[in-house]
Amino acid sequence: MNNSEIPSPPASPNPLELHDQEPLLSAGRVLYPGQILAILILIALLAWSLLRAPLQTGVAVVAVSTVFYLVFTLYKLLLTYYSVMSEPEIRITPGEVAALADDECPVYSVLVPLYHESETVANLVKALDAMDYPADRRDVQLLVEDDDIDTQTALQKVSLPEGFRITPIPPSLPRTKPKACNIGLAFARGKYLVIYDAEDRPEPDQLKKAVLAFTRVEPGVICLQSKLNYYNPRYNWLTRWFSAEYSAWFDFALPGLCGLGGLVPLGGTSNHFVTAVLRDVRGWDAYNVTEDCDLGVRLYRKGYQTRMLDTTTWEEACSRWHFWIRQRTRWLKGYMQTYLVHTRRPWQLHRELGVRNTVHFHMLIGGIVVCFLLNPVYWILAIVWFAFRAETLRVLFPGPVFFLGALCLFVGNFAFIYSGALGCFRRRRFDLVKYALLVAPYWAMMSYSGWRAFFQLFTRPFHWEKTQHGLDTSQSGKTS
Amino acid sequence: MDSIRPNPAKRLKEALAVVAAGVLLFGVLLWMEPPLEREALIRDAVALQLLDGATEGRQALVGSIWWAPLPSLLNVAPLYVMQWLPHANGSLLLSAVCAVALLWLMYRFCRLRLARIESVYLVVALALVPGFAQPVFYGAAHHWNALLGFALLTAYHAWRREHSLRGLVLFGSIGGLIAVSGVDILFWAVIVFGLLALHEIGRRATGAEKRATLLLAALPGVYAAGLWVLLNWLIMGAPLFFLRTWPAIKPDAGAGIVFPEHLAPGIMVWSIYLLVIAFVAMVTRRGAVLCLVAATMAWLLPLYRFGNAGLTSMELGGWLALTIGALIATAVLAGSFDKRHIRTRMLFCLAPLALVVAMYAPHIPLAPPSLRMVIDQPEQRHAMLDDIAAHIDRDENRFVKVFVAGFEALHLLKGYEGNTFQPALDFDFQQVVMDYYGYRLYLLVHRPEGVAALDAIHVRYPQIYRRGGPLTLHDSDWGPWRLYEITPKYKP
Repeated sequence: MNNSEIPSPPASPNPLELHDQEPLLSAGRVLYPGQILAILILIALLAWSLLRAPLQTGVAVVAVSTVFYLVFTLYKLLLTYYSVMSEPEIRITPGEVAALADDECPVYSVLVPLYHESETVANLVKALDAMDYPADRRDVQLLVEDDDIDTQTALQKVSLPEGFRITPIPPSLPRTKPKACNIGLAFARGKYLVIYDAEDRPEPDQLKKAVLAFTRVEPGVICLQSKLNYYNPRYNWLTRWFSAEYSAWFDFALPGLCGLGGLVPLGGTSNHFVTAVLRDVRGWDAYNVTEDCDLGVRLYRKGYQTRMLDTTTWEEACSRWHFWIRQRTRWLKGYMQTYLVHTRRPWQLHRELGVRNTVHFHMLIGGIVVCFLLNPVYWILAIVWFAFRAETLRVLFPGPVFFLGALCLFVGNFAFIYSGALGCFRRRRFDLVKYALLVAPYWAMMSYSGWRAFFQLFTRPFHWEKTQHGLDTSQSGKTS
Repeated sequence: MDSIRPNPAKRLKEALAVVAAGVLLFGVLLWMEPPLEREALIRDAVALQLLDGATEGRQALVGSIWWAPLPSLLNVAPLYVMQWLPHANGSLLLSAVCAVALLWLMYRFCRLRLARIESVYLVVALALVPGFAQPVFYGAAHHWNALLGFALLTAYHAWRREHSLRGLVLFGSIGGLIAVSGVDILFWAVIVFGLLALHEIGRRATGAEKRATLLLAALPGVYAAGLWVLLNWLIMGAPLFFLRTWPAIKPDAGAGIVFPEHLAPGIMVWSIYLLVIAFVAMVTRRGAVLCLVAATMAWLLPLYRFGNAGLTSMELGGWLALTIGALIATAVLAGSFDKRHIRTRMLFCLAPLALVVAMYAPHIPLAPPSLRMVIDQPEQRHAMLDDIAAHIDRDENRFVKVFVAGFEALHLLKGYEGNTFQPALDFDFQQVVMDYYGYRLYLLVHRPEGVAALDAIHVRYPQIYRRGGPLTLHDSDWGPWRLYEITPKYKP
């Protein structure tokens, strides 16, 4: 490792480069004509079929949904199995970290997009300064919008340590985090680069672990995803469920996915990249509201890979219901955008990802969204069945479909709940295990957010519903 | 010796290979056309009813504690696939696959601690035990139960040794399967869970960690049992319907503990062996082995109870569990000696094999003499039903209905066309008379032997076979079946 590899910044960065150069890979346009045509044909076929044979159509739709549920459940169980049976994350011991000399550390860029974060910046600077990395080798950019006076004022009150700088983001549309990150990427000086959110508290040795991990991974691996979890899980029921969900996702599903060699939809922060390659793939899509997930898929399409790194960044779990709904709506809308972007040329996607990763893509990105949208329909059917013993529903569930449906209802749902509880256990948050078992209302909220996202996709596709941070300041300086 | 951390992809491939070997064994067994245990035939009949979407199938699936849902449910998919195959039997397939899986699991378990040859000795001992090899030919369900029991014990042992999440997940998942797999294996699960709980109490960990461990270990089992209750409420109309036959098990033994004659010699041999193992473990301070021996010895209680109640099928399962427990304890004990004690290790690994071989010499009948096995001959069954139909069809002016009581009915009526006969798993005289007013009604009851004695009708009307029910007149006998005419005193 040496610092001569540090890339030089371009003269005039274009934060919309991906959209301008490869519009098919950008969510700048929600649907392309081919997609609109396919959806219209599907709707027409369904309508025609409903008019001709309503019962048979109903049975067919129920059968297809049931098979989808079963396959999705088995897929999630497979991920859990792989995660339980092996621990595919890259592990770096404290001894290895301690043995890494300062002059072996390359310049590391840290991007922190800030927007209306006046309450968190002081703690943020403190947390980043406390990281175990040589001050002269760090390149921390605080990306602040030009018109965000609050944050700028708050930053003026903080004396920035060595290696920190403020990068102003000129106001322009779309006003999204990825657009700011693209500008930060253009000015980044590090060999490696990582994104943190304003409320993040990464483990102090995370950068050194990433440096060591990058030397170990096979060629082609240009991204490391750290685990995310929350430092305020016990604030209320919502944060408990949110923590359980994050544990199941980052401690179970994503490592399982790595074990299977599958593509990793990146989590919002703490993604460590090789800067030069990130520039080659044109950074983030400024129009996608889950730019991380989209980038994760795009890296695989370009022939690169991601691995999980066994280190945690602690975040603040959203503790207010309405803010949580807004945040989840954005995430699910972003998943929908990502799915639509990458299915514009299905055969090309298949060619670039291969069979296995195409399956992972459809299951992880499309499957999750479809599940959230379908769930309320099946919950209503189940309630009607149990409450009124509505025999008329039986015609929609002929023998084998009924059995598969019962299997998904009774075994599948339990498996999801159980894996959430196991996630808490692996994360050693034992007191949260019992809360993870009562997660059903949380699922209902996810489905509500899913439908909200679905409608927003067509009305306000690029609207960024910002997550409010600093609601729980009691524990912001601590980590669990 | 293998590393403890398994490669999941390799494990999946091995599991597929085991299933393939089991299917191959099934093919050989099918070609041999062995006589099958009656329970195996009945489980298949239940699965076929489920495939047909019949209400009786769903009732049979959940309606009795003695006919746990999972072994029947596991037959549904194979029977669906094998519809084209003559004499196809899902129970036989399950039995064959589980037998191969048991041997494989035993080998894997031993290889974690022992050298290859030492492991092979123990696997061969298991394969040669008459209680293991013979029932494969019967299509008996207790290979499935034994497999679960074995896996549960290995999961417990893995948890105890490593406290890894893998062991806990395995323990919980297997517990969930066991809860709906049979009373005999449930007993075993309760014992092993007790061991786990004791271990947790004594472990240095926070209270929250201990509670979470026990919760995750027990939850799938509790959930599965809850599901059984829910399905009883939905299908049978009473949440605890399946428990109504529980009091029906009554050991015939007199004072003191007396095992059935055919079991006693084998039990004596294994008990002495286990006591020797326990003694060595105590002297050499190997607590894990003592726990395993204690869990295995606890099996003597269900063996005594089921054996004396004439539940021969469950008795076989208990016998197999006893053997497996002894072999696991042996493997753990032998593995706890380091490689310098090669002779001690070898001695322990050879001892069970020597015992098993010795058991063959005095011809100890390890398969219970009363085990009822049959070669299914649909023509004979249907001919008997035709004869009964002809016998009762004397007055053509009236409708006729014959209720065939109990789980045996599902097998008897398998493949029989016509509406005269109807299986009745929850038979109630007054209800039937009211529902079928104007019919000439009959009731066909099987002799109360083995698990058939635990059918709901024998529990509700204990003298039904010997003396008839409240509204019955004895009509005729058809092999083990007795036909009663129902006299309609009640009017709707």
